[in-house]
Amino acid sequence: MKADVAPAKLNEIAERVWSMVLGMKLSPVACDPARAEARDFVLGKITISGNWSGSVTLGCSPKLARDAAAAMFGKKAAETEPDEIRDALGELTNMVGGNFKTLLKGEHRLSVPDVVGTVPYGEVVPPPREHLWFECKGGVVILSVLEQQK
Amino acid sequence: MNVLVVDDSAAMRKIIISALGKTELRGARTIEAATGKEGLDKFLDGNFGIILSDWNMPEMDGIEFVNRVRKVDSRVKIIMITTEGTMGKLESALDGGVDEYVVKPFTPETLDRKIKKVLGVKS
Repeated sequence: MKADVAPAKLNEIAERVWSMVLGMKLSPVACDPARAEARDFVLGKITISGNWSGSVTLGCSPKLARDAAAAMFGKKAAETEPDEIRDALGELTNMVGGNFKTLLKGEHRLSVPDVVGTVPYGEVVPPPREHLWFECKGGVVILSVLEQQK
Repeated sequence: MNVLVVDDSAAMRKIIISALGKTELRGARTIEAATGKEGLDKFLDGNFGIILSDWNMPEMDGIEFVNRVRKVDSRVKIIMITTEGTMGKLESALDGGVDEYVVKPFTPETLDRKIKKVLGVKS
């Protein structure tokens, strides 16, 4: 089964989560692999199983992940701990993935989020995959939806 | 009134407690728990008027936590804070002993409205 969720809906979810939780503006931008290929990303992942099975990942630069943790924990970016950065990105992934799940038809189950440490760009966007790009505070955020291959 | 906040995300507990400061429960004593089991232990040791619990947690999820609380206490008010926005799931949570739910992400105003509703306070 195809997820059949319009990219505009995904944009709306990501922008709403970023704005309401972090107080930051997330702006959709065109995919630009050349901009990201040499960069590392912190990657959050959550899996969905049911009529549609797959995963939703959220990747962003270590600096932006630190800024997000600072906003969520109410402290300065330089004072955030690695555990807090993982926790913050995991919760953001949980919210984006959970809201995406509500758009799917039928019964679905959401996993708890997992945050992989810092990974190269190639692990954020392995083909074939649908992904949306955003910009926030000069950094890139990549939201990907991967349908499980049967 | 004592408030128990159960969520496996420390960031989310921080956000919930910060939001509580802008609600009917501002000034209330808040106790945190990072798992359903820890939440149950703290609930049994304390005297809580309201519980705010996550749904999607490892080991003991929010629904199982609520079921266990309801076996020993039918009066404590329970608000589920969740990304689970589908009506079928939310209705099953309400049937299972949850008094109200708040869908993440949420504003302090939404949380306040739900708290007032479960406490029977007029807005």
